[in-house]
Amino acid sequence: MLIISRKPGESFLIGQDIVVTVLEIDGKVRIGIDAPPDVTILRKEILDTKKENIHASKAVSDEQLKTIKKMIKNPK
Amino acid sequence: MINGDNVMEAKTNQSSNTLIFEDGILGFEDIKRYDLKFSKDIWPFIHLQSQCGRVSFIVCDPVYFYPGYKPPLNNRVCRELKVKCKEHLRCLAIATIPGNIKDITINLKSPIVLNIENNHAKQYVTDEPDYPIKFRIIKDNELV
Repeated sequence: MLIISRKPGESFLIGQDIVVTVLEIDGKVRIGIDAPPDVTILRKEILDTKKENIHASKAVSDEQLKTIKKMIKNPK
Repeated sequence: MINGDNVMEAKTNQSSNTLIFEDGILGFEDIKRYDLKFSKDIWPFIHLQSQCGRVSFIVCDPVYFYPGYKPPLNNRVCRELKVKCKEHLRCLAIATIPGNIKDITINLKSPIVLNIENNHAKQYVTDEPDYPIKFRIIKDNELV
């Protein structure tokens, strides 16, 4: 992984037309992105959630669920 | 914060509710209407099936597996679900059940929030770093 140090107000480029600017660092980093409209920008956890949903989206029989139910301990 | 109380009062019976996802579920944005199908036999799991028949999920009450689960709630989600009172909000977690069923996980990072007053629902991704996408609900040392 490429690692670059930037201070607030400083920028870097991805390719020729995507400019990423560090705006503020205060516990969280606030980042500004200038990119062409056809570039999709997603928080990575949204993509991870989509992938997880696709894995999760299948029929599961009640028999399987009953088997799982027997395996779990109720933590309450 | 959303109270993760039991979604259903009718958990001892077989029943179903239609939920409306205006934005769909992430990855299935075109599917808006789902039925939540409760059955005592499989509680705390619940079937969430699209009315078009293309997609089926298993969801559960996350608090059952993660006591104290309270995902932070933002105002945008409340607006989208037309929430008049936060007492009307309930939370569900989607389960992923792989071939080896003891590896079942639930998604605490991206809960489904629903407004029981109007049955509008939405999956949203929380900023909470302590809530994983894959939370194991069967620990190896708990196998019976």
